[in-house]
Amino acid sequence: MKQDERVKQDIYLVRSIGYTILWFGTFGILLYRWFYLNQPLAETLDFFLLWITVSILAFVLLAYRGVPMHYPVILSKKEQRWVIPVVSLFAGIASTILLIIREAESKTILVGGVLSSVFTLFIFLIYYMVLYLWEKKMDDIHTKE
Amino acid sequence: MLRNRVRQARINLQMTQEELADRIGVTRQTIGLIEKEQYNPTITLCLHLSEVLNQPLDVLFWMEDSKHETR
Repeated sequence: MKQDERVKQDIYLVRSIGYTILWFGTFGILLYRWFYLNQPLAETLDFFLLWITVSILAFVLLAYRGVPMHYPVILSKKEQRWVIPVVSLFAGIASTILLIIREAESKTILVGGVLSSVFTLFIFLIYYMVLYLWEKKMDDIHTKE
Repeated sequence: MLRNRVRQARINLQMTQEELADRIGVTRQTIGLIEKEQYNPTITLCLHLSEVLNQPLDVLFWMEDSKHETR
């Protein structure tokens, strides 16, 4: 069996295009169902769970492969410390706005906004932890050599 | 840009693209793309090509703006 690097790269590229179309397509469908058809989350739970699982998995795998989260933008460690809370806060604000648009109850708006921020912060911290462990592993390999 | 003389070296050895592809374990199409400089092979594949075509690596591959350009 041949292991052609060029064919492998092209297969990865084609699959990557397919993944991107599916990812954005599913996200678009979810937004359409939530905000145009006004379907509740429970009715789209199957699509949503698949989409969020794949997204988190892809996100964590990027960290596992040593890809900086802010790539291709170059950020110093000091800047990164600012970016995490700011983006988390932005996610919370965006969720709050979306819940207000959907005319949710005030309690839901508050909980949704806070949970969204905490979840984003949690995911980012996981990413940095995985990336830190990856760098440590690489350092250990280099030291052994 | 990475340039190469894979085609010339292959013809000198009277090999077909298919024979070369079989020797290094890739498809004929990949050899075609390398010869047309449409695909930059990895260093592993370059070393395989260098071995099979019996040519030093720096003779077989060079950067267009490097000192080897005038060869």
